[in-house]
Amino acid sequence: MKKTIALALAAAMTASALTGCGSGGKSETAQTTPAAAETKAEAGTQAPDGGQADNAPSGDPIRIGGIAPVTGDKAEMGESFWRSWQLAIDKVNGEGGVLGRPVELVLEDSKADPKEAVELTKKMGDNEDICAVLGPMASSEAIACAPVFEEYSMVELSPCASNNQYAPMSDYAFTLAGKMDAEMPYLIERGVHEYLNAKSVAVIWVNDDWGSSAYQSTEEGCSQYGIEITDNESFVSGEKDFTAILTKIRQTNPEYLLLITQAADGALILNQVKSMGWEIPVIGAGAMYSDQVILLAGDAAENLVASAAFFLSEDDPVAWDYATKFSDGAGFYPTIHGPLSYDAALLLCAAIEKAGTTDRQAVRDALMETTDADVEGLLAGPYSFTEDGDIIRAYCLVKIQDGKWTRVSDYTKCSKFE
Amino acid sequence: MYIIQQLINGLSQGSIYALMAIGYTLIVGVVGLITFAYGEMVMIGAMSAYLFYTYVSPNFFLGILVAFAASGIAGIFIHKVAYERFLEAPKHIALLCTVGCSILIKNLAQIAFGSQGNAMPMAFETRPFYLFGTDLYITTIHLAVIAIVLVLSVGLSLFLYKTRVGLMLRAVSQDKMASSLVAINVKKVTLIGNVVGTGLGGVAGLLYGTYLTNVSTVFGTVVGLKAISACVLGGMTNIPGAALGAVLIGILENFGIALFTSSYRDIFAFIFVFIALTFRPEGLFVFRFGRKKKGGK
Amino acid sequence: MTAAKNFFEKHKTLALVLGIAVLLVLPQLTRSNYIRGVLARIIVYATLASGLNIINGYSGQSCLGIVGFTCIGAYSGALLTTKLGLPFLASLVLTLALCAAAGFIVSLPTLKLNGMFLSIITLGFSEMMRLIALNWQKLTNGPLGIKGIPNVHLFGWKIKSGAPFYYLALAALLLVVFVLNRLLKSRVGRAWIAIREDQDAARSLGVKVSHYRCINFMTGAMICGTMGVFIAYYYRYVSPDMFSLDEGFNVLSMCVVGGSGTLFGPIAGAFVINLLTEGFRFASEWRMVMYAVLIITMMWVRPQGLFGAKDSVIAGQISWKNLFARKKKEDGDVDHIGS
Repeated sequence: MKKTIALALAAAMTASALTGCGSGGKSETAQTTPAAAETKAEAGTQAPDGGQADNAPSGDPIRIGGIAPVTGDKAEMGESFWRSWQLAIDKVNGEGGVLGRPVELVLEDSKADPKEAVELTKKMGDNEDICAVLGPMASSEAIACAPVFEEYSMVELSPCASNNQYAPMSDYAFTLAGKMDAEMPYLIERGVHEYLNAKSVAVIWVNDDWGSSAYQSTEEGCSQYGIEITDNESFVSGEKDFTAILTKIRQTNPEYLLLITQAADGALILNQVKSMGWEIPVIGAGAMYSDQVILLAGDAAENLVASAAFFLSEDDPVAWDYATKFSDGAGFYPTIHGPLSYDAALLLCAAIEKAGTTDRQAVRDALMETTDADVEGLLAGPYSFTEDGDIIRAYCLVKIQDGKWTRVSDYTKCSKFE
Repeated sequence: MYIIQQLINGLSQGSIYALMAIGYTLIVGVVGLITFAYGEMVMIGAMSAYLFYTYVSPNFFLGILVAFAASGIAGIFIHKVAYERFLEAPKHIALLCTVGCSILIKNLAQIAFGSQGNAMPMAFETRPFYLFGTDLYITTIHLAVIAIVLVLSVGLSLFLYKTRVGLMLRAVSQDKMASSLVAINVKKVTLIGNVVGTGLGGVAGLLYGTYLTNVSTVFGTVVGLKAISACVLGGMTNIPGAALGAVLIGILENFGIALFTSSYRDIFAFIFVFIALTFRPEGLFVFRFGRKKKGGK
Repeated sequence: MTAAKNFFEKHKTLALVLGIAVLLVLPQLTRSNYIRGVLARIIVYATLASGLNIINGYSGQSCLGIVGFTCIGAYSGALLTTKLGLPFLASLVLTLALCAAAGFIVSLPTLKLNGMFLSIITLGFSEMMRLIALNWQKLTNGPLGIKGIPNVHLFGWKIKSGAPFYYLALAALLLVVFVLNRLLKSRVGRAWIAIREDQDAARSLGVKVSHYRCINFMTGAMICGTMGVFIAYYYRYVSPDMFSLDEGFNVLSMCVVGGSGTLFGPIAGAFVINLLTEGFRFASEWRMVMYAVLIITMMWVRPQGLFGAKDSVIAGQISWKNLFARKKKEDGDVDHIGS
């Protein structure tokens, strides 16, 4: 009896898995059947119309791949991505779709694991319907996937892979994040050097793909402006207790504390700084500009200065509309990743429109030419891709005052790129 | 001065590890199997306390009860799923089941509550408390944590050494077969031990959340490993040993960070366990004679 | 299951040939590169699980840190290729030696240890390897990983990902299974199994327990390390994230679900587990939940694994409880071991 159950179970497991696994190949047929039916129906309805008078997109949907962590420890960041993509695609579809056809997002879960991301890239590459891919999220994933995307000559548009090494890897690798060697120098030059006029900082950085390259740029920037780094301490993502690091750093007596951390970790550090009774002004790298910091750290976050590629305020109706829609679904306001993902989806749709076809190579060439002038309703522009496929951004400085983020400078670039 | 400050930091962190290690050792003792779902028990305790404080009542001590109860109930679940059937089976089966439980609980919690950090409502003000008029300080949270851990440890040892159930627990943890021969309901006692162990883990989670001022559904895994290392260091079933081991790991980590950098934090603990076990394979704090550890699996 | 088993027992060669034939034909059934890739990965993991099986299944130790060796192997393969420009085979051989050495070193403190202590030591080893890879930035490029690993070139052929790589991995798997089979029938293998069934008894019969456990550990480490090289070439990228503890548990579950202590169990387990994780993609955030539930159910229904044998300690039939429950045995439940 037991054996029969076991056998049945094993068979069921394998069968379910096989059907699911086969979905890469199978879904093509599964997806084309209704699509074919739709085209027929469309042919029927369109003939009397003689064109599309109304705005509703029709016909075979244009499929865009999306790779983001839906499960795993980075699921929270992943949510910013896929929700924003979906919002952007809903917007595009609401405005008549692309090439008169509706756009559809094919979302896959990478768990922020480069291994999974590579598999998913192959899966999407095999699916002829998918003309370009949004994501993956982290630099390490993006770097791992870049050669595979090149094999399929398909666009890899990562919203926030900011590592310098990523975009030059292939012609198909694009990012909206702005290069790390533009962002940290901006923060050091305009923020630490000019705005705060600091002479010494201590740096705490998260030892992951983003943090380590950000720290390198920081080191270079600091030596350029004669800012002394009294101590630098790295920690592995997942670390929660920073008292030991902070005690160590306090010994070196820095003027400012620079956090190259994600918002949640940064908030922890701020709290622990406060409970030590240490009064030191804190500066945060780009990822620290997040409402989560205020939520988690409260008073301890007051006067935190950070750089931001995009400042979300109620004065900007387009952005605010997006942000409220986002928080309706997610329950929190988007961090910088959200707007970048939103823009990535809009830009990609514009590129497909521009290419006039869903051919992968044509989309890639069109995306290269696409700028913010082609798209309406972008949040964190302006955009124009460099030859490598990345962007040199302007940033602004933001500060927490009275428990709210306020912008304290105009958007500028660091002098290197001006 | 600086070194002493790191010692204090290590002590307060070690005391949280100690509470987890005590709970863990209790489980390993009565069940005789290691578990990888313990980190999730810690998380459940922290999350349930957070939800309780936010939506029901900000009473700190009621929260401890809630955390204990929530993790205890989860402990029953783990017991039913992973241990009860496999008490006699080879260890890797139950081990894999606990891994499965861990994945299950973690993902369910993430689906239900998301994986973002949540600010833990603070029961008391956090401020440093300077010692003897020097630069040395200990924060109020550290003090509270150490105090609660001490109280709970004393309570647990009273429970283990002064009550009938405690006696049965100790008996089962030493020898299941002999216990069943003297008419102890081994299954029931195992369940009780497991619930108390996971409950303590839950309280440790609450304290850890308070200590960090932040809870999330993903914070169990790392500390779970610390509890395991401490438990091994103490000799697997030796509760005071595990507590001592945990404090030692806490202190060692802080010294390690003082000398190197925090990226290596987990390495310090493991290297220490490595060396300790090379020279004292029975565990660092096992000084018993007589009964030899069972060979084989 | 019984029918399949009986068939297998009767026509061993035929079943073997049939199995190999299926494995050979498998990638030709699809034109999707993705599915071929997944198949190749399954074969690599099957070999990895076989390596773990040597340690966990045949000598009854409980090693959880197999991924530590894979990490060493992957990084050594990646570095030898990208930094020194060594060809695939050369880096494979060098990695083999390196991992044997690593296995020897790790086995030293573990020889005296048993059960849970050993699990934790190996677990710690795996985490240490990951953290070292993360922190030794000059060598490993830290969290960014090593990119630009070329395709495999073997005897002048370029072996592309997809079907060719699948056959390369399959060759490695068959080689490992063949060697393992020979090894198990030799003195060494019998010593391992004796240690697994009863270490003290084996020692009293003159088996040098620590000697053979050391060999056992080194063999497992070598196979897992070599698979690290395959993994590096398969993804053409290596980063510390790829060797987390979850990965170790993943391999362990392949081994256990398939049936540890059997030659073909890990292979079956690798197929089941990998197909599950890939197949549940449609469930999006519920994927891991379903996976966990199925693993637990599998353990409940068939704790000895799909291919597992009942007549061994690792099948879970010996127990203090069974010693008292003699009545059950008379009911025809064949179980002669241990009493």
